[in-house]
Amino acid sequence: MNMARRNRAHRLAARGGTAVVTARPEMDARAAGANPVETVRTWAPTAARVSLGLVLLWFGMHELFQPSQWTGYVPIISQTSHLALAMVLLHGWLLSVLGVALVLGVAARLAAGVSALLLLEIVLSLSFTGGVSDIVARDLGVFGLAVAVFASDREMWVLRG
Amino acid sequence: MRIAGDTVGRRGGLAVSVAAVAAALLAVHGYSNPGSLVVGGSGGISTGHGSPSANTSGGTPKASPSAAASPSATPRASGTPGPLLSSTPYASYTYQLYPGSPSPSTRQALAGFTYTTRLSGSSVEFTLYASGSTQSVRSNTYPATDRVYFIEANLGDDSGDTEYSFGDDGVVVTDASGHVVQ
Repeated sequence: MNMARRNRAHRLAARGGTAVVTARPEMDARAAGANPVETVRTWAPTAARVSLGLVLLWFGMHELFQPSQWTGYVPIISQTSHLALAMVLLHGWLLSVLGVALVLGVAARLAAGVSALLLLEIVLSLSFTGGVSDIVARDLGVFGLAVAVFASDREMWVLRG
Repeated sequence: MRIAGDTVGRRGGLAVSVAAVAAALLAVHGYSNPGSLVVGGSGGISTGHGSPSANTSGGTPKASPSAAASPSATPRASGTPGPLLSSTPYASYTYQLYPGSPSPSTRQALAGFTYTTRLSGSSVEFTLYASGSTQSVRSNTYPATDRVYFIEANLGDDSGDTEYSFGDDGVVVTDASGHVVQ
């Protein structure tokens, strides 16, 4: 992307103007052509978005296909109850929809934002019920990824139209 | 169409809607088929207790030595053992609980569970508890020559002494020759 143009837009925004920084990934991709670092910089947000989407999709599908294996994670409610089962299925449904949206790049920022909130809830819930553990650390990393995707404005491979 | 600052086109909206409906159908299916809860249930490995596929070992029916040798323990429904535990897909996920004391890896696999064994004559009473609960999730008496194993398919769901997923845990019992009996 034209850096001068982006900087000008940032300056305008900082002054309270209405400029919106719009990513121009196709230009970035062309500019990245011969520079590997620039190529990574250009594609990283897309890779992060698709990776996050695949992670959510995998867990969502697993929760939909094998909900009984996940009821232990539902806090407070008995894991053998129908309510726990229903909550796991609802969670799996939401993860699956978010995963598809992220992979396809449909309302990606919204999906990433909701994912970040979901993951934050998971991290806090696991921390309170089982203490800080390896699972919490892992989910904290995925939460960070979701925040990064939410903040990203360079997107490629998105389903437009 | 704009949703929370994101522009969603017709194709994108349609794709996500289709995914939402498909996931909802899967959820309905999942509610009626929540998967096998192995602990305390009968899912998992087939045994020699009436399962047609388990009545042969390598295609040849064999008698169970321990079934005949231990009349005082839980009677076995048939004289034929199940498959060799080592020949089942679960073999690499088993941790021996009885006889002997649990190894460090067994203790790790047992996260979320405790167990007791009580030897009584020629039989042993085995009881498995969920941690923090006084109610057993499994209790049975076996011939003392049998072996009791814990199955944990995925250690990744164990954190400290907490078991988050009971669906991949179970108990399997073999006779002295390693054939699954329960």
